[in-house]
Amino acid sequence: MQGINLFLSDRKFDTDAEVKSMDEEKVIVFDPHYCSGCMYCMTACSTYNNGATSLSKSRIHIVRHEGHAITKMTDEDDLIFDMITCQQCDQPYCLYLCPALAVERNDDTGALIINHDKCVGCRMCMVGCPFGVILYDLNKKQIVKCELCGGDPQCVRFCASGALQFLPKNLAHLPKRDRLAKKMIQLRARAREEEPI
Amino acid sequence: MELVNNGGTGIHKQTMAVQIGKDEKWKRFVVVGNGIAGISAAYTIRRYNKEAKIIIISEEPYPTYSPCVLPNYLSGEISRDRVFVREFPDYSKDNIQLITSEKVITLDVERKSVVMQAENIVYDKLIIATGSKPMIPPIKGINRKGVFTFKSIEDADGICTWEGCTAVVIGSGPIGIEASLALKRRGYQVFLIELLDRILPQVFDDYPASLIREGLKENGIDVATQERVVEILGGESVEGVLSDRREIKCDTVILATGMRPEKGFVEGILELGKLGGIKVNHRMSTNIQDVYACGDCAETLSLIDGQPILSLLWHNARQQGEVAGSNAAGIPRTYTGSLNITAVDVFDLKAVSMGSIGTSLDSGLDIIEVRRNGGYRRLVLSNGVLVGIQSINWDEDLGLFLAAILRKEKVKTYKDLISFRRPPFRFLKQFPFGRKLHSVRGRG
Repeated sequence: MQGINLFLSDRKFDTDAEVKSMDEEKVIVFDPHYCSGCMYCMTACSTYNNGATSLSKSRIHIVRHEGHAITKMTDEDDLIFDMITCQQCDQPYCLYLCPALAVERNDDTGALIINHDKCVGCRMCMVGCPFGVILYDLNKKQIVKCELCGGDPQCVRFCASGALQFLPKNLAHLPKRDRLAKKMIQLRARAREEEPI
Repeated sequence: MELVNNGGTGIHKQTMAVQIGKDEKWKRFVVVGNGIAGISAAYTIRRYNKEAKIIIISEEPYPTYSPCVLPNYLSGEISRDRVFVREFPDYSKDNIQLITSEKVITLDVERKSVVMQAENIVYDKLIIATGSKPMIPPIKGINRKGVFTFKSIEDADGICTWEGCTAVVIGSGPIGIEASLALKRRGYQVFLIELLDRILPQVFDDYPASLIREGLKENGIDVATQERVVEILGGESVEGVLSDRREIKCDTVILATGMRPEKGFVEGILELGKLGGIKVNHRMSTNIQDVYACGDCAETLSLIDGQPILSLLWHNARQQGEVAGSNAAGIPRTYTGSLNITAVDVFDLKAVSMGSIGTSLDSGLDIIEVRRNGGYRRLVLSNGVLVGIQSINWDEDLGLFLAAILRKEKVKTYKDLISFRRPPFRFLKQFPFGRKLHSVRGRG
């Protein structure tokens, strides 16, 4: 979750400050297993950031995928949801590409934020983003992106099913690992019932 | 949840890096050049080393500004203040000393000092980020008043104060195109002249270049290719331009015939590369110890084919500055290579080019063209691997292709890149936990 390592980063955690930030900086973690597709997160995001509810202006997107005939084995498998939002990459191309130094890293939250006083609206950040999560607001004529709502992401706050969590970076992988471990135990138990030794 | 461990990978290297950083404290770092590469190097050093003395030497009397937004200033979209990305108080806030309007004459490698007119400055580590300068073509009458280059803020100020109404732009690289668009927005009548057979010859192939040319024509810019400018006519100031085909009456001439690395004071001291830039290795260090080079003046390797290139682009300079600064501060970091990403906005038409273009490749070239809703995309493949993309009026999910270029992805059709490939059915049947396969995918 800590930004996909696309840019061949050899970044090491260089200073004490950065190691500390690994414990404190939080990221949005998504677990597709729990997502019900209610889109409360998108509603909350657009309402909080735009003052009006408009799913197309939301900075977080839930993608709904109807189960494919091949993967659909039982009735409960019919819907798959996935989440796309800013990954707050470690080596962000939006930050490198910005000719006006308008993309900045917030020291408190670790989020990449747009400084609208500096932004000239050239949209180079949109060109470079591998996730396509930087939006251009045609009404305000400015670039908008997920800025983690200043440290209290509204999408996580309003997530009804618990699929979205806001966890410190070094704990981000644990929910998935837990769930997978539980599942393995169940499967082993089932196998033991079916074939007693 | 208590089982917190950073994993075996990071910790050892991390403590090593911190120790190296501590040994290198109390040093004098000198940065020559106050462009983006210079300041990103200086600020990277400051991030790792709070006590070091950092001196930036600049030829110009201004704080750092962004040459990329000069067209927006020239056209009147933004004010002059917004061209500057730093102000003078910002430097002293981070305890960085800025020496302006001073030219470095030479470099004393044995004594480790930078020689200037007034004084010598001793360094422990030197970073050269002198940038590039416009190439002036050998045309008759080039010194007349009204002939401008378009690189620095002084040039832009000069054009803003110059009273003209007809302009000839010589050269149709990204700078030439942006200058002619800005002049058009300013109310000029603009003629664009290119020597080669298409506009934007380094960043676009024939067909996309012709689309951009049509966009320029629709907005009233006169574009001519395969035309050579012979002479700039006039008395003291410009009155016209004579080419091998015609004579154009004008009062302003913009030279946008390319950039060359500015290597004035290091020539003969540092090793230069094939293309005329300062030769650097993957740590951005030159052939002399404790001297680093970054930005437009350095000759780096291409991310795509590993050949030396001069990448005179903002984002590469910024990354190079960070790598050079980090290595100078004692924390080893590798520069992975330069990549071309260029975007040109021609009024409503948005053109983007990433990576290599088709005409620059010799063998194993393959082109995939896609058209949709008035948009156009051209994928350039070399031996089946995606090396470049050009896109006109279709800039959604372009970053996907950037990621694919960086991953050196093998592509056969356009759909390979945009659709999710599923494992074959046979595989799913054999897989013991196959029926719940999708529930363990996703990030986390």
